[in-house]
Formats: sequence, C-alpha cells, structure tokens
Amino acid sequence: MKSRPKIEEWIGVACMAVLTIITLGNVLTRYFSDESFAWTEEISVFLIVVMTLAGAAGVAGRDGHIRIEYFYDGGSVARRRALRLLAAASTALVFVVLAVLFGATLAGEIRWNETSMGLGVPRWWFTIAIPPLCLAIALRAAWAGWLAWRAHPLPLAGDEPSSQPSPAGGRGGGSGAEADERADAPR
Amino acid sequence: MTGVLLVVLFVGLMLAGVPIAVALGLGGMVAIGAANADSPWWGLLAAPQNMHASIAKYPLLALPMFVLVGSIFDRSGVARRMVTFAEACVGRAPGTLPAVAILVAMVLGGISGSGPANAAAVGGVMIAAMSKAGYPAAFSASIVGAAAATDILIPPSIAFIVYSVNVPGASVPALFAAGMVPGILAGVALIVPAVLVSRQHGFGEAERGLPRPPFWRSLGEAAWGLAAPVLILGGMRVGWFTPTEAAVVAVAYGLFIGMAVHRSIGWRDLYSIFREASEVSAVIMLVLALAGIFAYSVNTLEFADPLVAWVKNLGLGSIGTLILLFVVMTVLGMVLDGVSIFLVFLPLLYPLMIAFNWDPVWFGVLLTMKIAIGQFTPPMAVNLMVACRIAKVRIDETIPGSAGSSCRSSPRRSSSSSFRKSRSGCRDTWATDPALQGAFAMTTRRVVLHSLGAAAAAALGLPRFAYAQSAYKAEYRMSTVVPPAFAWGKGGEIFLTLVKERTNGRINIKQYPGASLVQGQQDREFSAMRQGVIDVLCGAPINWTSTVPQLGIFTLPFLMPDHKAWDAVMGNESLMKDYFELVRKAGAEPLAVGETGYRQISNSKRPLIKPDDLKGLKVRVVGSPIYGEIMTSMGANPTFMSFADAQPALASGAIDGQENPLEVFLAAKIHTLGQKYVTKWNYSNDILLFAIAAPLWATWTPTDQKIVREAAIDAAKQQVLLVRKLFAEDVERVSALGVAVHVPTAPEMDAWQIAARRPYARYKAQTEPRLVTKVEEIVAKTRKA
Repeated sequence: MKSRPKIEEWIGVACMAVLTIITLGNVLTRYFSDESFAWTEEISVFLIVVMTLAGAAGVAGRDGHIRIEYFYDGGSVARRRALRLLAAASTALVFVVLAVLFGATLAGEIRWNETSMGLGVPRWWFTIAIPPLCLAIALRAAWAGWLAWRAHPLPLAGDEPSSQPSPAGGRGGGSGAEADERADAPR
Repeated sequence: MTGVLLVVLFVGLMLAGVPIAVALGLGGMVAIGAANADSPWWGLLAAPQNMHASIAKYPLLALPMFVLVGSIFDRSGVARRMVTFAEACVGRAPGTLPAVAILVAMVLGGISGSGPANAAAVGGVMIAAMSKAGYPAAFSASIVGAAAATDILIPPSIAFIVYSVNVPGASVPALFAAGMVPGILAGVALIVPAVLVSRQHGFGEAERGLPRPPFWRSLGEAAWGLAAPVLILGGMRVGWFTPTEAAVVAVAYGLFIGMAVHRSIGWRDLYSIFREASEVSAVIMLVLALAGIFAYSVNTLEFADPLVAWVKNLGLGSIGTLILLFVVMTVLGMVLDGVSIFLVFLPLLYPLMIAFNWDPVWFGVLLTMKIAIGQFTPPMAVNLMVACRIAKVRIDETIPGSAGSSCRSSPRRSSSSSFRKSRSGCRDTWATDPALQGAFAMTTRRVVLHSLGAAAAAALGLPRFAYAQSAYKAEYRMSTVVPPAFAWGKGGEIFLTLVKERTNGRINIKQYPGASLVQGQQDREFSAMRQGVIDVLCGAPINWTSTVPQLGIFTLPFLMPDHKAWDAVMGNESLMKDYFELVRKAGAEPLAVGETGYRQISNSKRPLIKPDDLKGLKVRVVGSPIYGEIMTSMGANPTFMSFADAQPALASGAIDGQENPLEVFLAAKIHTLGQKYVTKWNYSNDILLFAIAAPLWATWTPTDQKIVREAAIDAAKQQVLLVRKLFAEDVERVSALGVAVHVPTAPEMDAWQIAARRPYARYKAQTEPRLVTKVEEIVAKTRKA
C-alpha cells in the first residue's frame, strides 16, 4: 500500500467540491437574478449518492465504518481475528449482492426506457455508476480483512490515521501506513 | 418468525463488530429474502430501491454541507478565537464550554430541523474547542450528541411535519408550539448536569491557571467567527436561504476567513478538508442508506396488526401502555432516525392512540421526545455517531456519559410535558421513566441482554402465520402516496376492504401510505411495481411519468377544464380501452379509474391573477416534467420533490408555492406552511388508477379477478363521490382559514391557457398524441352541448 490517493478518494472529493460549487452557484444566481437552477437538484442528488459510496469505499479500506467495538477489540487474538474476518466477509457479501441487484435495476431501467424526473434523461445514466462503486466497497473491505488477517500485531478498529486532521501538516492525503500506526494507537 | 430472524441477525452481527450499516443491510436483506421466497429475486429488488431512495434526497444535502462547514471551521482558526472570547466573557472555568455547545445546538435546532446535521455543525466547531480546553473527547461527543437531539423538538422540525401529515388532528403549528417549551427545557436540563459533571470531575481544569484574555481584543479577533452564526441563522430566518444553502454560504465564508483573514488554510489543505468531509458524510449516509433496507423489511414483515391487537389485550391500561411505548420508542430511536420511525411505526401507533383516546398533539410531542433520547443513546445513536466521528472516539466510550445525560434529562422532559398539559396520567410516567432510562446506564453487555429479551418477547407475542394457500400470497402490498385521511388514500382503503370482504379473505391487501415501500419517493412507485416490490397500485399516473410517460395524458394543462368534461372523457369506452391497453403494455393490469381532484396553485407571496404573477416564484411540482415545463413557461422556477420533502421546504420559505387539490391543501394543513394565496384555476385533474402488477394478476383465479375488478370499480365510484363533495365546499373552507382564494374569470382562464400552450404541445407529442386528440374531441363536444 502506497500513500498515494486512491481513486475513490478523488471521486469523493470531486463530488463534494462539485456539490459545493453547484449549491453556491444556486444561491448566488438566485440572490442576484431572482432565478435558480432547479434542474441542478437532480445532479446534486446523484452526486450525494456517488459521494456516499465512494467515501464508503475509502473508509472500508481502512476498516473504519461505524461499529460497536466492545467485542471487536476485546478478548483473545483468535477471537478478534475471527471477528475481523466476519466483518470483512459480511461487508463484501452485502455489497456484492447489492452490486448485482443494482445491476438488475439498471437492466430494468434500460429495458423500460425509464427517464429521470427532473431532466428527463435516461435514468440508467445515473444508475450505471452504482454497481462498480458497490463492488469497490466490497473489494476494499475484503482487502482490509485480508490485511488484518495477516497483520502482526492485530490492528484496532476505529483508528483512522489518514483521516485525522493533523494541524502540523502531514498532508499528501495518504491512506497508507495504517496498520503500524493503528497498532500503536492507545486503547 | 422472519421478524425474529431479522432482529436476532441484526443484533448479533452488530455485536460481533460488523459495521452497523452492513448489519442493517444484511439483516434486512435476509429477512426480505425469507419472507418473499416465492417472489422473483426473492423480493430483493426492494433493497436497491430503498437504499437509493433513502439517500437520494435533496434535503439531505444539508448533511454533507454542514459536515464540510465543520471541517473548514475546524481549521479556519475561528474555533480557537471563539473559545478565547468565551473565556474572556465567562472566565476560564470548568463547564462553560459544554454550556456554550448546548446553547449553540439549541439555536441551530431552531433553524435546521435535522439532528445529525446539527450534531455535525456544532460538533465541528465545539468538539475541537472543547478538546483544546481539556474536556475528554468522549464527554464532548456525548454533550454535542445530546444537545443536537433537542433539534427534533425545537421547531422547525421535520419529524413534527411528518407526524402531522400522517395523523389527522395534529396540526403543524400546534405541534411546533407544543414542542418549543419541552425542547428548551430539555436543553436546560442538559446544561445543568453538564456544568455540574464538568465541575465535579474538573474537566477543562487545565485552563484555569491561565490568564483571562483581554475582552476587546478577543472580541475583535472572534468577530469574524461570531458573524458566521448570525449569517447562517439570520439568512435562514429572513428566508434568504434553505439550510443547505446556508451551509454552503458558511462554507464560502469559512474558506474566506481561513484563507484570507486568519490565513490558517492554504490551497493544499483544501484537498484534505474536502476528503475528510466527504468520508465523514459517507460513513453517516451509508448507515442511512442501508437503514432504508432495514426499515423496509420491518415495514413489510407484518409486525403491525398482530402487535396492535396484542398490546391492546395486555390489559396495561392507558398509562401502562404509554410507558411500554416509551421504552419501545427509545429503543427504536437508538436504531432509526426520527422521521423513519414515524413513517414506519405510525400505522401501529395510530390505532393505539385512538383506542386509548390520547390527544394527538400531546402524544406526538411525547413520542418525539423519546426518539430524541434514543438519538443520543448508544449503540445506534445517529447524533452521537456524528459527534463521535468528529471527536474521533469510539461510540461505546461515550456510554457512561450519554446514558447519564439521558437519565438526567428525561425526568425533566417528562415532567415538563405533563405540567404543560396538566394531565394527571402523565405524571406517573416520570416516576417510572427515569428508571427505564437508567437501564441504559449499564454496560453494553446488559444492553445486549435487553435487546435479546425484547427479541424474545416479540417472538412470543407474534402469532404464527398460516400459509395455507401456496399460490396466493398471505399479503399483497398496496402503495398510496397519502393516508386514508385524504380521499385518495380513502379510495385505496375502500378497495382493500371490499376485496377482503368479497373474497372471504383469500386476497388480503395491505395499504402502505406515504409511499413508504419506496421510502416516500412516489415517482418510483411504478418501477417498484415492475420489480415486485409493490403489488397493487392506487395512484396518480402523473407520479409515474418518468417511468411511463404515455400514461400521463390526462395531466395536460387545462385539458379537461371541468367535471363535465372529465366525466365525458372517462365515460368514453373506446378511449378508456385504448388507455388501459397502454397500462397493460407497461406491465400492470388496470382495474378502475377514480380522480385525484383538480389541482390548484398556492403560494406565500402574492395573488396569482395572470401568468406574469408567477414570475420568479419557486414552486414545488410533483414528479413530472410537464408540470415543470408549465411553471417554466410562466416564468416560475419548478422544484421537484416528494410530498414529505416539500412540507419542511415550504415551512422554511425555501420554496414559495405548491400545487395540489384543495382537498389535500386542507387535509395536509398547507395553509400552516405560509401559503396565503390560492388560485382555483383547475389546471389539471389526474386520474386515480387502480392497478395490479401483471405477473400477480395472472396467479389469481378468474372468479377472484372478477371480484377484484368489481371491487375496484365500486371503490373508484365512492372515491369520486368523496372528491366531488370536498370539491364543492373547498373554496369556502379554504377561505375560512384566512387564505385568499381567487377564482379566475373566463378571460383570465384564457390567458392561463395561452401561457400553457407551448408545453402542452410539446408534451402532447411526447406522450400519445393520438389519444390526446381523442380526449380533445370528446371535451370539445361537451363545450358545444
């Protein structure tokens, strides 16, 4: 794992930035011209969904999703290892299944020529982004599970070194070096 | 049994440390699969549908935006200066910052109406400041999570608006007025223990020895930051922007301060700020997304009816039942957000409320309080999660703190409400309630035992279901956009009652109002029906025009200007035969046609006499491009949103107007959302189509098909009569509410029609021109006669 930014991280940042720009643009145009671009709402909603899934993939890669850590980080090494495997396997399973189901939804939308509510464009233009992102979450989770399985000492959950805002600098957006830092993190 | 499976699986996975979003999704999907083993795809296509619908909501944009505001203010150097100023004001003593945090959360709660977004906004600013002042991160997170929970009590509150739509007799202003005092008392009830606990444990003690900063200089430095809340709050109060827009203005302002004034943010920091905000938002919204799947499975698992009967037969009496509900609501509040709880559980609670003769407003406020407590009680406290993400502590570390504050605040909450309403029955609740709340001050281990106990209780209480007939499903799901309090929902209710009676219970249809099978996204109903998520439709094709545009022919503006024309069109057999053929091609068996009522426009700004008056107004329209184009052609800005989303948007002034039948205007109390002017222009009267999913229809015997069709025709007749009766008296009733109703004269009507001509022609070409021409001919004949 290198500390260069991952693709889903870029997608998440781009979505957030575009959302900000669109919304700000809407406020400004409405304030100055008494008009607004209602049609942008559909794009904003799409970006929210993409940002959620892309961001979730990034976090899944660090095993950083919200969970109850009471048992996850307690008990014997064997138990913790087993729970990590269970978590990774469940996450991967859920999102692989969701990717397939979204694929089926996508197929239906193409078959029935469904169009979007606001812009009237084919709905599948939006939906097609979802299955790959679901697969990305599944892959990142599986990868994180595999790393945790092999890691010595076992990392703890909830420690997210790369998302910690370090006022001292430490940019570079890296996601790497989790395992080592996490192991040192205080309980 | 499936219900038990769902609960056990969900609780088990969650305890094992599986991410909560995944536990919700997996539990939900397994339960859906088990309950729909005979459906195509095991009924699982409901999962993507509900997952997408839970987060594909425009008002939800406020959440990532406020998270971003937090990330920016976090590094803009404003927090430090504000703390300095606060220290200059009150001195450096333990307990002052938590009090400030709670007050800010309450003030924000008066604006946003969204608990998690509030937690993000306050947490982003205050948690950093509190940790700098030496408060333990877990304590800070608990304070912010608990403080933000007052949000759903303090108006404007989305939860109250949703409650009002679903419960007849609870008006929005009454709920707002009733929620205000308990909300403020809850905030005060949090401040007192927060200060005391801080003093007792010496939190924030680290700063005591430092000198008190000079007042004027710190005020000058903090002024930039202090102006931010004025900008956000003031801007929203005056109606400049929606919460989302206010957030984005705050983003711009925060970046300006950080980059230009305090110079604490460089260009290179932007990437990491945006990344952090996108990931923090993603973590929360992933839970919301997969909770949609969970909510759907709870909603469809037939928990409701037997449970209502069971609770009534417990013999607990009014007070006992109320206490039981409070426990259940608090636990639910820990798992789901308030609006989902209302959407999912009101069908269960409403019959109980009637049975025990509870005041709907009083009951609504009490329920909301319990949900508020649940929102910051682990393990699944939405607000607390947000705060924990920001504070970077684990959620279970906060258990002593937050459970403690829920203990301390609840007696005051309950006593305040009982005092306000001066109902003797309620006073008993406060004696028992703290004890119940206190249960959560235990360790996680014991919370677990309780959850398992609840699951076991559910298992014992639910009667077993016999699936005698394998070909027929035990229950068919019907979606309506509004509950039976409206003529539309009533039509659906009449239909299912008739079907049940006449088939001797062979066909058992259940109504899901609020389009709750698709998370309230009414425009998704038709595609959900194609996927087997919805079995029976009782809805307006206007909502489905993005799925099947040709069905929307009756919604063309001013196509059928009065009931005489409407009746002539619907009575034309050859036309309706052609139309039904279109429905069949789209994948549904059409049964009968009722009416949704003539749609009239209302707004908060001015009387609408001529098309020019619409210029610049932001009008909510239903999910169809045609209504949007009509508004655009008259110079208005159309906004597409669901009914549930539209109400808070109208209340906050984010949008100016809406269009609906006046019956809906009355039943949904839309005049309480600032709508002062109505124009009765009869511009569209869509049909109410009763239809069954085609694959399902084929499984029924010809006898049953006939019975169902006749039941639909009879239900439609009754529904039309009801609509007509309400239509005849609506002007009088709306005027009585102090709303100015304008009935256009003939020349004015011509002007409206001319203004709508361009979208009319365009839309006619896009749908089924042949059928529209036919309708035009039929209408023309009625004009001559």
